Amino acid sequence: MLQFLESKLYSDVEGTCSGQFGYIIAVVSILDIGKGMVLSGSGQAEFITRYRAIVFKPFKGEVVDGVVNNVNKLIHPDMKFDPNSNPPSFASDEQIIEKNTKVRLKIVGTRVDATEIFAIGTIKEDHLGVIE
Amino acid sequence: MTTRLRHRPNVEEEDASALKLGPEFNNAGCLLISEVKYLLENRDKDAPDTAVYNKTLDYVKNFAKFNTTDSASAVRDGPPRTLRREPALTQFETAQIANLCPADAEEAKSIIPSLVKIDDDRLQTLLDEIQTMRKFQTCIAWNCVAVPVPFGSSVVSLETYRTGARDLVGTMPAGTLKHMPPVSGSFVNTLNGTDDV
Repeated sequence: MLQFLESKLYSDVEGTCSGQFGYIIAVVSILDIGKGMVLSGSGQAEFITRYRAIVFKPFKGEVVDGVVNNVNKLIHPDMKFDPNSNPPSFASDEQIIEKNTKVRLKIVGTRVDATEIFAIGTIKEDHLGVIE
Repeated sequence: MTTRLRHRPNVEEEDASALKLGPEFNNAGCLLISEVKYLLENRDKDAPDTAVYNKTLDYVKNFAKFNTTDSASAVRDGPPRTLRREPALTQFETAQIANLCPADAEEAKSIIPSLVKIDDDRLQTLLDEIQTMRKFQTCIAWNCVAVPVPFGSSVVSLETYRTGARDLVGTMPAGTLKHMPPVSGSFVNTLNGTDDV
């Protein structure tokens, strides 16, 4: 049964996302599997399990590195959008941003959805922008 | 007319630049990207095949700054002036410094604003130490002796070698180290090779 509870925990929580904890990437260890409580009226039992996990949650004001996935036509006063380049890119005098470019950005806001967290970032500050 | 009651618990607005991470995370431990990489790669369970897991793995491979287990733990715990030695740093700041590896105090304070509490000189020493670890990370461990190695004109002191690696250095012809280019090529590879000994 322990085995079952363990694999159930892994498959139920890994890869999920909540506003409270962010993304649960991987369970590292189980601290306490909990005492089972049989629910009245059904044959089911409920276990409250404590576990340790690696989670990811982006915070407003945090500086993070990332890889560009997609370039679209949002306006940045110092950079020009070039839809004809391949792949489409943003370019200013000193930097070019296109798919797979690594950038350092600051998160200015986050929005939590049931299954995803959206974040808006800026590169318009010192020490932010294309890296390497 | 009824007034609509707004049940708005007094939530503190999150703001990482002021170290406000919300009730769940204010006192939580923060892992370095390099540590996450280690944990994911050395998991005893099978890797879950979720999008979140796979993206994370890609991400940490891309952005881990310390690629050996030794260097990742040394940046946190090892001598001489590493992150744990700086009591004013919170877990979040520790992780940010080691993940972003800012080059100087001014850059560090710009991307991690809460660092204003730390004196520039002190911060700079810390950052220099981390940069050195990054450069020489294949050699850094912390259970052995100091070996000064002249690289060209500047003398760089590699704090420590792994025991296996030190033996190997000991067996090299005396002149070899002097002409070694700074961390690249076969020297580093050989040291890597001995990690498994």
